[in-house]
Amino acid sequence: MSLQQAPLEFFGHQYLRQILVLSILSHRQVIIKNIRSQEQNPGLTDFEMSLLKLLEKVTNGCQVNINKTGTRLIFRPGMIDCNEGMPIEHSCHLGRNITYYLEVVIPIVIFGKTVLNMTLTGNTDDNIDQSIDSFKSTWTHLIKQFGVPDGSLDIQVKKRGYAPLGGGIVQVMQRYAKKLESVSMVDEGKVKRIRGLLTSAKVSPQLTTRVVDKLREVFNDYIPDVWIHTDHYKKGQCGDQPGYAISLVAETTTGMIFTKDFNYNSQDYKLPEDLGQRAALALLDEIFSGGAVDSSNQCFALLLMALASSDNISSLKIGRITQQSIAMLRHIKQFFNVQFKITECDDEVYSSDSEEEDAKENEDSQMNESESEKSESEQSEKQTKNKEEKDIPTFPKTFIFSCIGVGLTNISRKAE
Amino acid sequence: MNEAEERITYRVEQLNEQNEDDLSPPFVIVVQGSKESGKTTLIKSLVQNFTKQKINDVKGTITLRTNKNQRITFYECPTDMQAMIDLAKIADLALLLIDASIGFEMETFEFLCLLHNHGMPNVMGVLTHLDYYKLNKQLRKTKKKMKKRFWKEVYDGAKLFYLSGLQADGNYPRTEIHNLGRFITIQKIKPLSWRVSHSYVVADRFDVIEQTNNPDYNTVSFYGYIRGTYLDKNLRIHVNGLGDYEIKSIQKVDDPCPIELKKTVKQKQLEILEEKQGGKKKKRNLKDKERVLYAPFSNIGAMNFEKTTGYITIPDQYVVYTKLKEDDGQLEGADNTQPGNEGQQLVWKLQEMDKTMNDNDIEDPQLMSGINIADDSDDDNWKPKNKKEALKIQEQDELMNKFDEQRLKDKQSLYREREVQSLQSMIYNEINKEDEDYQEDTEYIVDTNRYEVSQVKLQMYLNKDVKKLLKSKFVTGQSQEQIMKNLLDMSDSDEEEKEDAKKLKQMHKKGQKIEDLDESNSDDDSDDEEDKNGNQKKKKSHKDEKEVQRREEEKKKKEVDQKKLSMFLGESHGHYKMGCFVRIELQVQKNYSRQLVPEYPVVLCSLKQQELSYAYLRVKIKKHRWYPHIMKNKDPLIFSIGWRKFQTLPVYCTEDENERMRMIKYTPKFGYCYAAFYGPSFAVGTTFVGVQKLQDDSGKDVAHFRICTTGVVVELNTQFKIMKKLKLIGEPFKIHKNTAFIKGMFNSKLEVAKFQGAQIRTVSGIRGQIKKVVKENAPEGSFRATFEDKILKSDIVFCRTWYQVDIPKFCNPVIAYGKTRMLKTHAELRKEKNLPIPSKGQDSDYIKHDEVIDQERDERVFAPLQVPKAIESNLPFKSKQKVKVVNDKAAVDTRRKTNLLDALNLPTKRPFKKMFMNDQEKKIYSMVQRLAHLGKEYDKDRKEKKVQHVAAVKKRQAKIDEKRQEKSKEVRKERYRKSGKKGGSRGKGAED
Repeated sequence: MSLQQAPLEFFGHQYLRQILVLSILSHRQVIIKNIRSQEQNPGLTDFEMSLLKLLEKVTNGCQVNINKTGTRLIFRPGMIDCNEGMPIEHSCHLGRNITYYLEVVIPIVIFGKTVLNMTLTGNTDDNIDQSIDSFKSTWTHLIKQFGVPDGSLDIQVKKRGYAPLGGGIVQVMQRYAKKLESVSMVDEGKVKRIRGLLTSAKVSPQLTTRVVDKLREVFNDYIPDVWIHTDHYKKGQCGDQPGYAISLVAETTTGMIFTKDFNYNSQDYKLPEDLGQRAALALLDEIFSGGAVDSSNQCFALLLMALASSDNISSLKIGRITQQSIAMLRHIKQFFNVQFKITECDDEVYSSDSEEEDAKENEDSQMNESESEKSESEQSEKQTKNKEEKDIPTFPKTFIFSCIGVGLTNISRKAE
Repeated sequence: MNEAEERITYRVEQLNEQNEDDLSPPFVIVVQGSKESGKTTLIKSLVQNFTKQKINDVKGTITLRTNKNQRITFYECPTDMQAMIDLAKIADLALLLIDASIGFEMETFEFLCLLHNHGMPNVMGVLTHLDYYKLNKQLRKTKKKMKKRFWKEVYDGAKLFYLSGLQADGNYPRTEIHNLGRFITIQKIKPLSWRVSHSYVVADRFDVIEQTNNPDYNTVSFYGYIRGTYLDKNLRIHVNGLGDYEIKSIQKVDDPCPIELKKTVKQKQLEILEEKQGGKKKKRNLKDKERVLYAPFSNIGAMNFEKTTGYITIPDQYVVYTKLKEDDGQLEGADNTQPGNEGQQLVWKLQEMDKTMNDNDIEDPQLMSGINIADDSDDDNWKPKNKKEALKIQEQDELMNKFDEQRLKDKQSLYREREVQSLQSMIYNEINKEDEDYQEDTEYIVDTNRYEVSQVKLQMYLNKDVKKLLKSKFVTGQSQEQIMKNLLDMSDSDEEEKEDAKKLKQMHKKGQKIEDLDESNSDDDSDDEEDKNGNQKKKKSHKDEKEVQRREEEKKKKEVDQKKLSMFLGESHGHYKMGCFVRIELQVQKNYSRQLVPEYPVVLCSLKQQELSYAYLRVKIKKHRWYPHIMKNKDPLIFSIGWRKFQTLPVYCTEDENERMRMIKYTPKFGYCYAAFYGPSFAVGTTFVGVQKLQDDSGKDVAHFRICTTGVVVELNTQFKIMKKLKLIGEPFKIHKNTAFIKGMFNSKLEVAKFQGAQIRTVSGIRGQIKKVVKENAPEGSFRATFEDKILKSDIVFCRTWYQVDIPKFCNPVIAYGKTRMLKTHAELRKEKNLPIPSKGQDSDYIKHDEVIDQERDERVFAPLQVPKAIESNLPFKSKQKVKVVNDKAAVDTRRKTNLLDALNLPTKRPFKKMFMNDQEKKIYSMVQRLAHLGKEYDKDRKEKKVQHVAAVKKRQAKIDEKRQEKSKEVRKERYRKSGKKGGSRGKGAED
């Protein structure tokens, strides 16, 4: 009698991490073919190998089978035993940020057998993945929404290490949960405070104050409650690469958070002010696009929703859906057979026209000069409101994604 | 009403309202008892009580309607272990029949044990055969005794019914059965955690459709109610005794035993009011027509409907082939004089006809009383060739009409959500196409979750208007009026936001600051917000109102939730509601499908995703106290965990203090140990039952208590480290002071090298360490070791090591009701083949200890204790050695050689009477005897005299004592008098 279902097949490397996460959670074997088969350097990259090695440490009994060219991967998941609670150490490949690895490990370990105690070395901030600070604030917040008790996840940055030289050390402790509760994150509320963490190492601390000034300059138009914490890492507390990075967090009245982070990169930003402005505007962009999670983390929210308990509906408001999330939705359907229902969010404060963003941009650039004078001169509210409806750019559409989770329970959790 | 009561009533209401929407499936009553305890009779009596129908065979499920909104299913439990296990898993109420003339029997206890370990459902005992006791006193005594025992086994106050003997018609007394029936109907069925999370279908009926084109598989369709929770079509299904399957197709079928919806408390109250106001009286009992009985295997319901076709079932013994008499066309059947029922009439009529169906001029037979099929077809030109076809077409037409209407309705809503649908379809519908186009498109996409915004787009946010708009997303964005206005103006705003607006208004009145907004929002979910602002004087009355309001709100919320849920739980999504009657088709292997019998329950149980993989399980296990043997390591055992039953080879172990899992050869007689085995994975905390044999070799039941073990799953893993203790034994062949050379422990240098530095010990407890291999003048594998003290040459040195035991990767699912080939235990095989217990060399042989070993071994004589002079001189005299023992080697040797007593040749008190004595000896002997006798007599006399003497002395002494006491009394009296006088004068003086 074979209990196992047939292995699932996938093509390409793009969503390798999602596939691995879902494979482990659903105990289903996967075969990934054509991994960069058309490229100059075919097969799995070093950082992907590093990820697989990390997964072998976190899980017990998983089998990884890679063909000679590295273009085909057969992955048979094992038990998530977190090394029986013993400390795990892993040096992540510097090609990617530590969060690249954590984004795979953390969702798995929620259904682990023991407490995860893991120390990772590598980059803490780079330009491809989100920074460790953003990751920390998002995930601690996100799993709390799903009923995982407070303090389950603890991420400590022991050493700061900027890309590409790395040298950062991050310690992660996470407790397993029994199951995830269903959530209803449909009301993002209003932003009530903005917090930030500006880290720097081996650069003049003056640079950081310049970034903060610029940030404040942007945010002061919106909200006074802005607090940017600056953290300078001395020699010995950081890796070899000099740099500075910012991670911004906007909290709303309903307890949702948006995060955005930017990292010093000499090519893009000549001045620290540029970085500050860009980071601030990017956060505003997140707030503008609506939804109860930011675009960087929406696919995790969707994943957790699909795993949440089956006694109620989980729903999530999303402003703009990313490619990753779309892929995630498809994979969830394949692995867990959970199909999300997507409805337009009609309780939006401003009724929105179905215009494309680009068109809108053009429109408002033309309109704004004439419009601004009028709006300032005319004070009667009704008129302004009418005009707002007519001419002024509107918030993009938001959608509510809802589903009934599979009610995945943690069966391997050790009895206490 | 105080608060607690209120809460309770509220609870009750809530509970009642929970069932309001869905029809609950009939609950399963398993009638269990030992052979000839009256199970069949009880079911027959109960069926007659509820439906006024008689059934002859009790086979399979018997579902019937007890009242308007309740139905029950009976199942008779065979005494077979497998059936008992399966039924214990699905029983909602267990009726345990106990033959009072015999007392409790093994099956009852076994079944109780099974129930306990698979979630304890409701249990009721029924005592039968009480007419065995003729005397009233005896009867009462027995009842009491049985009740006490039953309570001990189940719980204090468990219900035990008494059924006195049978009536003339072979049933139990009517009133008693009626009472029992009442009791059954009012049972509150408690939800069991396992069943609430795993849906299951107890197959009421199954049809095997033989497929000739497929050599291996048959399609089997199962019919039954969905129980537990909703059934997900996409989940795999485990059929007990058949294995795991995917659902080929599932279909909702007409409920053979329909019931009405349960009324809510409110509806009931309304009805009562109506009644009081003079409306017509509500009927309380079921009409005879409504008393439905559905027992497909018991040959009762003659008509069966499946999909669109119907069948008439006639039991074999009633089939009569009618002949047509030529002269009068009368039917010659078994009872053609009587009208017969509809089905019979129909068949007779069809048989009567001598024309074929294709002839148009035949009179259309009346199917049901009064319904003419042909009339319904409007088309005159076309006449249905087949009656069945006509029925089908008609139904199809109706369906189509309905479908069209539904489509129209849907269309409107669809149109509205067109755009959204496109997003959804974009995500889900192109899933198949994805593989090809996708590859090229996204080949260079980096696998990251970080969302990058273009610099150009960001510039947008420097725009004033956008800024203005964006400000509304911040708490400080707009003034209060504006927010309020926006909120109130909204036409399609939902309630929550209106509430927000209200709150804002209130706050505005109070002049609260804007910063407080967050706080008030954060307590959004606690509904007391308005109450706080409310009037405090009318608190009590207000509270009631509030309570009502809250309840209504909750109810509304629940309804909304339900609505939303139903959106996801539709059949289009593959979810089938609990309580609906479905037909499930599975592809079953041919040889299995032929073994399905109605006597054994067939349960289709849904499995969760996590239960679809094999793993090693560690369980806490305990031998059942009534199982006569202890369990041997790696002996096959059949486990029943969750829905599954499988045979596997458990390795028993205990946990040492340092968390080492140490293998043990047998389970302890009492108490828990651990076991590890290979099997399907189950959640930690799942309880199980272990059975060694489901059936005897000859197919008979096992004669003793059949449940071997019980326990709970503790851990699952992909491997377990279980260690076996291994003692390596060696002996010294050369001893220096603390160093000794030891041989016999290892066989080669290599082995020694591996164990260098290992701890070793002698039996007497002297610890040591392995140092190095001895190469010359020594047997292979000997080594040098150091000890903490000098060891003796006679000491045995051993090294304690651990050896990892493999857990056999073996799991044999129990399939097809005892017809699976089962693994046999070693003992069974040996018995079968008549083999002796194999000997693994002398050391492992079992020998009677005292007989053999003691003969061979010398008694060990220890050298006398020598106390050094320095110490002895300081000892107190008492502890000093009085007589010097001469170290006499010869004496020791003789002592060692011979029996101690004999060797010493000590004179006994009396010479032994020898067999052959000469006169002299006889004289001596008789003299000695006489002297001894005299001595005895003397002794006796002396003792008597002593006693007398003592008595006399005591008497004298008593007299003296008496006198003495008298005197002393007088003296004391005098003294007290004197002292009293003194004290008195002193006291007086003090007073003055």
